[in-house]
Amino acid sequence: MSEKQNQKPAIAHGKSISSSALRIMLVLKWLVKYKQLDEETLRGLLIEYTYLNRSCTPETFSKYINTLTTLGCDISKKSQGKGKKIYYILKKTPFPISLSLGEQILNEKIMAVLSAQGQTLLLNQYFDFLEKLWWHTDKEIKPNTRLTEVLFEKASAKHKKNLQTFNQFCKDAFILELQYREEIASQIVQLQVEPYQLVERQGRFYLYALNVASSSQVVLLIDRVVSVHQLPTKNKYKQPLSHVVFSLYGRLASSYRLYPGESVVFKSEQELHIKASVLETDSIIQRLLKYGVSCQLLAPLSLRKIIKKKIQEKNEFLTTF
Amino acid sequence: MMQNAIKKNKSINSTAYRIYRILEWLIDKPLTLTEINMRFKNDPQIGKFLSSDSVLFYFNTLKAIGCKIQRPSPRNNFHYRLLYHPYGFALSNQSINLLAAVKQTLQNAFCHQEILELDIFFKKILTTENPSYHQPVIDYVPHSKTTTGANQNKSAGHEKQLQIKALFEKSRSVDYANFESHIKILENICNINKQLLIDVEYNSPVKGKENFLFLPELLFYEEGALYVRGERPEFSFPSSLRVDRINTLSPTEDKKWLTVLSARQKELLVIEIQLFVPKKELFEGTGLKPQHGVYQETLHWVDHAEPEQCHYRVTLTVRDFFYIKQFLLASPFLFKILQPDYFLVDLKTALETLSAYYEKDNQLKY
Repeated sequence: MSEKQNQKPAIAHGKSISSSALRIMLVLKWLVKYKQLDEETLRGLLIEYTYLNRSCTPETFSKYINTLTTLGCDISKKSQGKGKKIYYILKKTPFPISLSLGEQILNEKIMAVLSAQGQTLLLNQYFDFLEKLWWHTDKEIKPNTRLTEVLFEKASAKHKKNLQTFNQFCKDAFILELQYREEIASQIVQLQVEPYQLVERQGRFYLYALNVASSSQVVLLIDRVVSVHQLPTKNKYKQPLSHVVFSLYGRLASSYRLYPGESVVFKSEQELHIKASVLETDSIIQRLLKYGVSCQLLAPLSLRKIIKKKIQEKNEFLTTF
Repeated sequence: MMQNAIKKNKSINSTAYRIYRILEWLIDKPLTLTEINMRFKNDPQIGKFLSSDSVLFYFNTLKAIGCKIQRPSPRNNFHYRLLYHPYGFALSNQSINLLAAVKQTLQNAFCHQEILELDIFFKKILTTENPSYHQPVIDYVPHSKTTTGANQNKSAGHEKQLQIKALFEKSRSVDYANFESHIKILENICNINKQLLIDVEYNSPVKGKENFLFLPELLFYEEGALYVRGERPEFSFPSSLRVDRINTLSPTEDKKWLTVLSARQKELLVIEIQLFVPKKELFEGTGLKPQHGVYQETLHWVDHAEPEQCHYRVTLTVRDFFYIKQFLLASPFLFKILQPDYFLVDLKTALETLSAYYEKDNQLKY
């Protein structure tokens, strides 16, 4: 098919369009999406595209790339593999997001705070995110400037291995057999657990899992895992969540903003009942106690007993001389 | 002529070239047909004006690629406005969860200005495919009333608005985009310590709309919301108002109340507590700041042969008890109040009321 024939207006949604321009802009769209594609794939995609069920010769395709490079798109060409496939690599986005110096400094602050708080998991994920984002910006230098690089290395060196290994275990969802040093007696016990989620609190990593033997949730401190290996059996259950219901009174009931995972189950002028699904209960107990007389935990009974005990202890101690 | 002197590149597709340029220009800002034609004329590769039919043809092609463009009309001063293009940084739901988690983690470490900067930055990333979000609205038109707006909005802009909403919901925070002027006024008063009394119309969660005088002291961000702390004539202790609940605010000349409230700001009290901590390293401080009514905190470690007697003597200079009471109730450590007595009585009453709540297990409905 010659270029002249291609230039005959095509019809999209009842309106005439330029099919060759559409093809060129589509090539750019796919290169933005995949960053690197071989010519064969790109030409195949063009043929498959709804309005353009026509072939595309190598010469025409070269003209498309030439148009894009003339427009300023940073596209390079390289041969690779056994069949010497021709790959097109888009080095930078054609329509960059402009990042101000203030925004770059802000990102360094974000990384510094995450690092200082020992949020290695989040720091790693945010760093990966920034690397992807940088391709779409007008900045040549990636965020791993000296400062962030140092922070990143410092933060990740300590936990990198555990992070990657246990994150992968959670993704794979195979039962784990592990040796674990107990906190109190320091004895090493053998456990089989279904891993669900790796959580970081105050710089320490915890594995939320289900103990296969007792069918109850366990929270294991990663530092205390002596050895671990995967068994060829998949997790049977979904991640167990604890469901908590609490009531709020007075001003707090009127102004309360729901936390993620919370829903209102009852509402009156004086009272608000909230149902929360939480991974662990320690944090929510602490938060509910903070609300003082404006809050009461309604369910489950087991948590009510824990709160009751805490309050009684505080009350008795407060007036002991 | 100038354009004749520039050698045109003939091995390119000129239609694609023009379409790409239109997209590039519209990402920058909305343009009229005349403005687009002026740019065509000035472009070395084009160098001429084009007919309206040609431009329409180019717009149809852009739409076929997936761009959403608002048509010119009297309502938008006859500008073409790009609502969406498919070449931006596409974010998955997982990325939004990540941004929300980052924001939530930073909320207690960043000051309110940094949090507001962070909000703007995250919104900018979320809307890279929606340049219209950042472009000034030429003439505001409700989406339901525009000819093309409703459908375009659903497919592109609306989706992004939902992503922004999700970001704020997941990080349990308030979007302060519409409160810029209130924030500027309050920052101006608080940051340079101007003793300026204001008249506030406030949307109270309990009383509904109410008007009162207020002497702002400090702006602070906490748990996803921006507050202004200050004095009100009705209360002897300071109040914290949520900025997004302030409907209107205006300076007032009331000298009498200004004198009273300024004096009240300086009425500080001292609280002394024994906090029983088995190991010194387990406790670093209450984490309370001036925004919590705590202006000074000293910790004195008292070691003892019996670990259960080891404690910190915590001395706090405070303006009110609200946050210190919250801290003590939530603390994992046991405590005693050395002074003042009425704070001890207040805490004792609270703990007894709480104990009573948990006596009636048999009446529960959940």
